[in-house]
Order: sequence, then structure tokens, then C-alpha cells
Amino acid sequence: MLNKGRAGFDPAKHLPDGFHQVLMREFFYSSMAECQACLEGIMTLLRQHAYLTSEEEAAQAQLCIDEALVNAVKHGNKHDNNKKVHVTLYGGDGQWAIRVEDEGEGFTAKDLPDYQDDETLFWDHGRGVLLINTFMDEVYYYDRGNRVLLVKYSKRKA
Amino acid sequence: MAAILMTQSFKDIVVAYFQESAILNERNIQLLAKELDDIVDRHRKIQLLLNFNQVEYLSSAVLGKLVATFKKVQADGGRMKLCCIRASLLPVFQVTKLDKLFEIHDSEEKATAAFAKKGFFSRS
Repeated sequence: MLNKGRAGFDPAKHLPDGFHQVLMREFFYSSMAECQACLEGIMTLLRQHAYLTSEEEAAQAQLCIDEALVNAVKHGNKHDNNKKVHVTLYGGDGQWAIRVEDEGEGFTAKDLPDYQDDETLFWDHGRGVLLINTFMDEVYYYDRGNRVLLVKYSKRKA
Repeated sequence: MAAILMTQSFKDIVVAYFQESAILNERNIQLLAKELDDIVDRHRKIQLLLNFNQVEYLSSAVLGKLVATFKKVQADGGRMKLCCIRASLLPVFQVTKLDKLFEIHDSEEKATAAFAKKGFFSRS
């Protein structure tokens, strides 16, 4: 339930078809300021490459990338300034993907709230993974759960 | 002091307008949480309307703060509603089912009118 995508696909070794460009590859030390700067850099690149064709797509992309980066800093590296977050942004024709890797212990579906349970409505946290899972087309958490690959097929292509 | 919210009172309703188009970074989110807390603390049984007209981007952390504020308002016997959320952001509320928890109106007029109605029929 955590992942959605192709069965048997190995996100550690491969990318889905059609990605031919690395738009960005960088790392930052875990701080919220760096995290924010990285997010802004990514959004600028996505705009420059015309991946965000509507306000809605932009809002959802920004939200998902923010969640992935913040999760890496906060839950993965636990704000440890010595730990890095690695980010790679890939581009293809009408599709983009982002890989976010932290140095934390990872997580499993067991760590997340049960979204079907109405009680969780009142929780003041725990919605990020659900949002990522809804708005991105393919989502792969891998290794021990400390790495994630998110894939978006732009509506432009459809 | 930079503020995330600007408030105006209309009769007994406090309308809080978001001043930022993106509420994402930690500082903004902490500021927002503090401002919401202060607003609720200053009014007994507050009738609070959050106007999202300016907001283009938000994160799940913001949703968390909204839920926390909602719980606080309810505990004090007050009411909280949301209005003017952009169509591009509505899915965020729908996916998280927060559109069921919060009463969301498409205009400020409808929201303020809904405060006037009491009880079970307060949803428009």
C-alpha cells in the first residue's frame, strides 16, 4: 500500500522508460533552510522545462517534493546536521522523476496511520505519505525505506 | 513583524486572511501556528473563518496546524470554517478527507452566512 508502480521494477537500479536527462543532482546537510532552498531550485527547474502545465499540477508537485524532502530531514535524518539528503531530478518527454535519499533508518507501512480509520482525521500529522501516494503516478520506497523514487507523467503528454 | 495572517472582525466573526501564497518553510509554519494560537486565545468561543484566497501552495504540516487549531476552537466551544480555497488546492483537502472535518465554503459571504445559522443545519 506504500508503493504504487510496476510490479518487479527495481527503483534502486532503474528508472522507468523515457528518462534521458538528469536535471539536477545534489546533496544538502539536513536543515530546514537547505531543504527549502532545494525545493525552490527543483520547482524552478520543473518550470523552466515546462513540466508544470497548470496551477494544480504545480501545487501538487510542490507539495509532494516538499513532503519527500521534509520527511528525509525530519523523520529520516532527524535533523542531524551531519547527515546528508541526496536529491536527483530526472527529466524526460512530458515526465519527471525525483529520487530522495536520506541516511536514516527508514520506515515501513506499519509506521503510518490507517487512513481508513476516521480517528486519524483528527491527527495533526501523518498525511504527507498519503498525499504523495495520491498525486504522484509511481511511488517506490526502497532499501530500508530511506530512499524514495517519485515519478510524474505530465498531463501535457496524455 | 511579518505576519502570515491578517485578521478582521465582522460583528462576532473573526476572519483571518492568509497573506502568503506559499506556506511551506518551517519558519512560516511555526509562525502560522503561533498566530492561530494567539487568535484563538484572544477570543472566547471564537467564530473563526480562515480565508485561503491568497494561498497557492501548502504542505501537510499546514494541514496539521489547521487540525490542531480546529480541535482547540472546538474544545473552547467555538467554531471554525474555511473559505476561498483555490480549485488547485481542493484535492489536498479531499484526499485527506479534511473536507469532511472542516466546513469549506467557496466564498466569504457564504461562510459568514453559515455562522449565522446554528445547530445541525449550519452546513450550507
